[in-house]
Amino acid sequence: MTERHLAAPSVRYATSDEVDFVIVGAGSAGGAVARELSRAGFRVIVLEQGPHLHEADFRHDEYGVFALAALTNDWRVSPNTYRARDTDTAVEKPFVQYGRVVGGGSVHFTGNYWRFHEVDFVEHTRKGAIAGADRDDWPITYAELEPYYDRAEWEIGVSGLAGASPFDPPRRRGYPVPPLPIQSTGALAERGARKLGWHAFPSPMAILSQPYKGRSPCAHCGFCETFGCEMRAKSSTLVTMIPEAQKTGHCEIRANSFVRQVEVNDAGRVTGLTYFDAKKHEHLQRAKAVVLCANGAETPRLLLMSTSARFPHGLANSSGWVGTHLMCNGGAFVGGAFEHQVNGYRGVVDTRVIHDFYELDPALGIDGGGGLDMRHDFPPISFAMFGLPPDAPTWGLEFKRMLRDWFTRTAYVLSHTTQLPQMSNAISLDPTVKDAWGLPAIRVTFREHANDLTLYHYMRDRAMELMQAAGATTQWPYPIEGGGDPGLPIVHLLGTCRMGNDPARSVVDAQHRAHDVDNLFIVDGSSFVTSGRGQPTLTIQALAFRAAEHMGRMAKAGELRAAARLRR
Amino acid sequence: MQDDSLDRRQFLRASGTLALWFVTTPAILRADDRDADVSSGQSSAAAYKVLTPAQAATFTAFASQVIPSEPGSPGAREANVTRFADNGLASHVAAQRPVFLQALAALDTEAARIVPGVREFTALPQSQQGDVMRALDASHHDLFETLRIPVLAGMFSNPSYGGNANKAGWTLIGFEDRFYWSAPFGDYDTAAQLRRHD
Repeated sequence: MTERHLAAPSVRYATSDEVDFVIVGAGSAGGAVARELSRAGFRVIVLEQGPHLHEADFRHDEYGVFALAALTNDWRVSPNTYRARDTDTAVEKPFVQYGRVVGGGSVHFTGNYWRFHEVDFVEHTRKGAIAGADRDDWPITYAELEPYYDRAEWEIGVSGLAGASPFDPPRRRGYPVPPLPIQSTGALAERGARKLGWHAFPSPMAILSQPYKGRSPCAHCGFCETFGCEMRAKSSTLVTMIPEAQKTGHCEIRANSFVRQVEVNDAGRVTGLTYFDAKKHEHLQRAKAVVLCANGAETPRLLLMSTSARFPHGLANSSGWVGTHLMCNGGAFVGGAFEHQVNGYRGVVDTRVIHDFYELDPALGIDGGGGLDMRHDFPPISFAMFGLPPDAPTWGLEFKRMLRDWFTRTAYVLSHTTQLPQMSNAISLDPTVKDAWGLPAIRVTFREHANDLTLYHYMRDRAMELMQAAGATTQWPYPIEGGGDPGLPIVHLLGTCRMGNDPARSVVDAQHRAHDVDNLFIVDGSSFVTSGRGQPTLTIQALAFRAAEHMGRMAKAGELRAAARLRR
Repeated sequence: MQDDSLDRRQFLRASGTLALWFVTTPAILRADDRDADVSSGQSSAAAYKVLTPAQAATFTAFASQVIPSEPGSPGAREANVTRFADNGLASHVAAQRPVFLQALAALDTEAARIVPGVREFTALPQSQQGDVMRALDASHHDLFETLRIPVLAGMFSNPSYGGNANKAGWTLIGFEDRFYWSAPFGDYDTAAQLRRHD
């Protein structure tokens, strides 16, 4: 993909300029924070690892986005290592995946954009402690976040129908644009749900169904999940927040900039960031405050790399919780074939969601819950590799016949669930493996809690029921492994710099300011206390709008210039 | 991948080599390099960049077993998956050359083991090639997948990478690459249609 530059150059700051805020990461959170702070008049720089691409760079190219990592982190230059237990030696293996372009994961994501429910914020109090997990309530409630969910939905443009789900939390108003047209996968989900007494509702999607704020609606080309949108219909920060931030004249988007260290002075205050440019030349950008929005893997890695005499165990890590309690949502997957044409490859990935199992009957003895949707997210190569039942032939005439007859007639049910926070599931620095910049590779330690595996099986049974009720002529479950290694890279990177009121059990406070450092903020998936039931991006963005408001207020009140001190 | 590719993670447990061509072999290959490197206009007769004629013939025979050619229905051979694989080995999956060549050699070894006196996979008739395929899949699944994955990628990728010639793969499965679709998308997505099927 080629990188184009905007015709109108945005503001450029010198590295010696002490800007008000420098933000690491231009994704769902970083884009929103940049837009809010620059509109409030602050001088802002966003440093982004990846390139600044535009819609003309995006293609219907499945091989390109997967094999060539066109939009995501490149494991060849940024390797990961993995182990199931912290007593094991980690081995090199792709494990975490995130958007590595301006716009971050919002460029290539599917666009599911529903809100967390009230219970997600207070589940610990409502359901009680669980052995082996460090569940807490969030330091904020749904009601406190609701105005920012609303902000996010109306600022970027979300399709949906308020009141369609009987399980939805309260909301002050509807969606800015109506739901996308139902597809056969959605219609089949509705049919199955009706038979079972469940409730399928139009998927809230960050994809436009109608023109909104100068952008065109979806043309239903089908290249959403893993692809960049060629129509600018997907409401990524690339086409919403970022250009609005640039338009203020106060915000510089500095792409191809890989941050290696947050700099602190003797007083324990952040003074700026050291980063590599595209040619691996090192620069020090000075700033009055730093905001990390680099995702749940790169944010803790950067903090752990930022050691100093004052912070020998990494910055903002007096709790020892930086990088811990990694959650990535779990779930299960089933497939089914239908008599007639489903043609799921046309249009967005899913158009109906079911939240009847968001909270489970306590009598089941299973903690957490999940959602279901019927979808088709296999472009041709992926379908040939994963789309047929696991016991189908993998070569030969029968394999060819099944590919030919089934591609347009299959649908899948995805269950997306909670995953419990465990101290031992963590992002840390690999002691031996280095990346292409000579920095320690991301090491992942991960193993699912027994409760979560029980939950996946429960939800897979519900998914099979839905498939059957929808009228599938044949259906099959995909295996639930549960050995810790999920097989494919994880994409929801949550919980690794938890927000909370207790500095001994969290990294940032309820305003996303680091407990240990006055002028350091962190807001991205790492802020999550619990995992929700999947689809975290709207919540990440709502937190970002809220956090930006606090940052702006503190900066205007002079709190970020306060005398140097450790707050603890 | 992508926001909810958790779905994929649950079942993608096949061998690590599955990933070599597809999931875990990213490269820093920009479009201009790729365009310079990979010409979709190459005919199947043009010389390969990496594979010898014998290696190319072995891979093509393997590919024909994976997605066979039938009258009126092209298979992997006609889709030029060998060209796709050669282009990849010459560029963004160059690091996989040793294991790829090892897998090709294993086909010959397996052929010799099953049919004494035969030295090459390509020397066998179709049915015995099938026996070798089954044997290699059972004994060296990783090597089998090392060859099978590029067949699938070459069959169904964008033709700009050298495979999927004449969109043979997409035509086979009924995939149309378009920039615009409108309702009805399938047979179930209007109320009237759904009632008809109920």
